[in-house]
Amino acid sequence: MRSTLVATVVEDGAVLLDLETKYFYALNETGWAIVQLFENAGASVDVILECCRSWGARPEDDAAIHAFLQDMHGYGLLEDCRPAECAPHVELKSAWTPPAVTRQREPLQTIVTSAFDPSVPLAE
Amino acid sequence: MSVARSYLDLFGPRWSGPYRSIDVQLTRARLSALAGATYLSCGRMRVDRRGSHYLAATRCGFIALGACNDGRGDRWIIAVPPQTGFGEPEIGEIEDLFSLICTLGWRAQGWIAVHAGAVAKGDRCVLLCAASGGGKSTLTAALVQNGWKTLGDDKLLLRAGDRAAVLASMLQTFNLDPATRRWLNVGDIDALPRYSAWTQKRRIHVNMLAENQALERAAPTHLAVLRRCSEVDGIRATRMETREVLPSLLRQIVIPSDREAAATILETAISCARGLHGVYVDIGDDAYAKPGWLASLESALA
Repeated sequence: MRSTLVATVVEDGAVLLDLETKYFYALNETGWAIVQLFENAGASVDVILECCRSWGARPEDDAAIHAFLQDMHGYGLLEDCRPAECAPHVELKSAWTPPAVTRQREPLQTIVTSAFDPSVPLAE
Repeated sequence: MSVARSYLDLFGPRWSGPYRSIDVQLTRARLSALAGATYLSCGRMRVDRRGSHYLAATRCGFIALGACNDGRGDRWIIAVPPQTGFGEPEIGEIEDLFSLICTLGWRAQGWIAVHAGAVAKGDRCVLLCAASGGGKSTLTAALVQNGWKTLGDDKLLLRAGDRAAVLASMLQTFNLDPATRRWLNVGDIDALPRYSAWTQKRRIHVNMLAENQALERAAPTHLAVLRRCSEVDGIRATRMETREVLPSLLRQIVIPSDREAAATILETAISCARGLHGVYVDIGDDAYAKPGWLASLESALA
């Protein structure tokens, strides 16, 4: 995962904020579990699929997993790196559902007025 | 020094603690420093951070160096180049530096600064969200003159409490355009000085709008995003989808580029947004002159 991303766990997954683009993303629980596999180091697709199986994924879920990884890549949230020697131990706390990532329609302000005011004033 | 004092004097409400020591030394000196904006980049200021140390530099050449220590409080030096006059840009930049110093201090105490207004009535407390010039002050003032209490129209502090979020008031003055006299009882507002050279707005105390309507703390229940909408006759309030509440709140908060600071703010905002009911409030032209605007809004906030 790119180093400009900040992750915060929520009840039903996690929120990712990209400090560079100011977009933020909602991950469901499965999506967050997958992201934790490569949050701090690389992970190969094979390792990801193997972990998903251990969480209850079936072979027909592979397409959804690949689509999720493509979405993450398409949003610019991933960067290429060497996979770690062993994947971190991550548990999926709820029942398996296909992973999902949703980007907020509009980014937060990229130009701020001061340490207190995140907006650019509207014309009076 | 008088610029700094004028800025700090704006923060009127009594603070019930906990307290934090912030020591600021102002000095006439020319410092040469390059702030790379690793922490924050604003319109007139760039801020770097290394651990608990901060370096801020403004366009006019003011430099602020700060050390923020959890246990011992914060110490800052602000260096102002010799022969610097204090016209409009310089005053604004001193205020920017103090905004930074204050927001860092508040965050160390668990509070995040929110650019929003807030009003309360009964068991409801509504965060009013919009950009500068978006109508927060006018709506806040109109509600105050119709029985609502207020924590302010522009700057608030927010923290995640044990059971519910808590809002704290910081300013009990409003910046109102004299044109609002069409709808509000604002006394002799034209006689007051403009609070800045680039606006017609005057700074007035909430007591000029209504007596005893200032509130110091409240638990927010609603978040309202204000939108100016010429096609709307009066005020129209519509329910917001739950997933829009968090981004609407985040848009009123400055999030630094620093991971640690951003993570703290994000956690607090997520925790606070959890219990809020979201509403869009579309404000038509001359809305406050239309009968029924208040009933329409209050029923959406029930």
